[in-house]
Amino acid sequence: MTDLINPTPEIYQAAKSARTTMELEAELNDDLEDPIDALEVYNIIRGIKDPEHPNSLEQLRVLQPDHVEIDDVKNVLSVRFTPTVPHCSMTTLIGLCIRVKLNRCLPPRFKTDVYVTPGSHEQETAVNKQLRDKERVAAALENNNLMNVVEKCLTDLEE
Amino acid sequence: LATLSGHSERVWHCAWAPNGKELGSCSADKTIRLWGVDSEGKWGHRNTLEDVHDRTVRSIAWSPTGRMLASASFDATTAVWLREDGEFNCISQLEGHENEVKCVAWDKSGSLLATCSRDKSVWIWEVDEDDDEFECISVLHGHAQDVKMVAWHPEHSFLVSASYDDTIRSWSEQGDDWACSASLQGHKSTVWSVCFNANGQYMVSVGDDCELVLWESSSPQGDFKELSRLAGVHPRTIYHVDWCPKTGLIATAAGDDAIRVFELTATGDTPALSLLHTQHGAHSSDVNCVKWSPSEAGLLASAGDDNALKVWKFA
Repeated sequence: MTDLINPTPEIYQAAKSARTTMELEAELNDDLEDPIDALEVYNIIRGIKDPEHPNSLEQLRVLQPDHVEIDDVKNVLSVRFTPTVPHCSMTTLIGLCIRVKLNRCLPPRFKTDVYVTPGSHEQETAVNKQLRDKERVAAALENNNLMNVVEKCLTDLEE
Repeated sequence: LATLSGHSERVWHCAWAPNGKELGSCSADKTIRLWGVDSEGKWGHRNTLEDVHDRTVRSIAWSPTGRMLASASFDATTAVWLREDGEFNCISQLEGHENEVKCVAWDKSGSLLATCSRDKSVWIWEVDEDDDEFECISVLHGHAQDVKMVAWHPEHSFLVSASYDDTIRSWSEQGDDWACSASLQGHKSTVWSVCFNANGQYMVSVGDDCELVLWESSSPQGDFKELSRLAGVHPRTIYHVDWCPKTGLIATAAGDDAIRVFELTATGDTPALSLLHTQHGAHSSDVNCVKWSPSEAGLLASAGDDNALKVWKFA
């Protein structure tokens, strides 16, 4: 096996996130106003596979439910993620995977910001700047080699 | 006034033909579309230029006579299209940049073409007018990161480039080659766009820091002095800025779906920009480009992530 950036990541039990009865009712009833909430967004991205481990971003706690913030009225969404090690060279790739998945699954009206948890990465500013630059993201999405890697990460792991 | 649909993906950029009767647009769908206005003032699709670029077409520029159109693409090439009998044919595909070409611009004489790329360089091409051949005469290094945009000064023979490295550089002919004459540090993040007023006395730059910076051009070689800045108006990245040669108004395209119009005023002795109007929801997604008509005062075209091109009248 090749050298891993983080050979022994902590694996966490996936959080059981509960909804209130009222929320469940709203989810199931088409007549009730049902805004897109943070938990729904989290459910879209939590199964993304880590580029170097056979685990999901949820299991590695790269993503956590309360690191998703959404305002369905203002159409603003922000997701922060935490690399497992501060020198992780896969960080931009992970951010790109999250962006691609959200772009595919959410209506285009959302303004989405994806960034690393402050203090969690050595090149935090550079990574965030790249992920915010839609021209660079667009160019990356036209790169077939890179997209093959992204698609592998977006194939959800079996539960 | 009009919404022009036809592109199947994000429209990155648009450009008015010099006579103001035609509008070109380019998109992530790899095509360039040309639109025209009929005698009743109704806008419609005229032409689609395709099958040359195999990736996103990022920006386009008309030669000063409108005889040629240049297109810059993520496929690392710049195509030059020649109009003959109403048809456009690709007569040249300029290669040399290592990767994505982001912008292309003609100088006022139409004899020089500048391109810039993610490879951090700016290239200057000379046009041989007898046989429409293009030759690279200078490769300019200096930026530490992607170069987002190039623009020629309307009077003097220098150009400026805006970069992901947060700086603007100006380049002029020094001796028998081109070299950097100034590096301007006025932005806190990527500089996405720059534009000049009609006589080139002023320049405005915009970018990811959501600020507009007003500069005064202080020498024919490309030195600038920062005059003032405007912050707190745009909540998200400003992708493009354009100065109307007719009215002197300045328009911005931004990531909050809005188009804003500014005017040049003076606070005391210092020229400054002040907001006149905000068109919220101008597009249903990011606005990538705004361009004032070269012929009709107040006519404005915009391009957006909603795949649409729109024509506005600012009155």
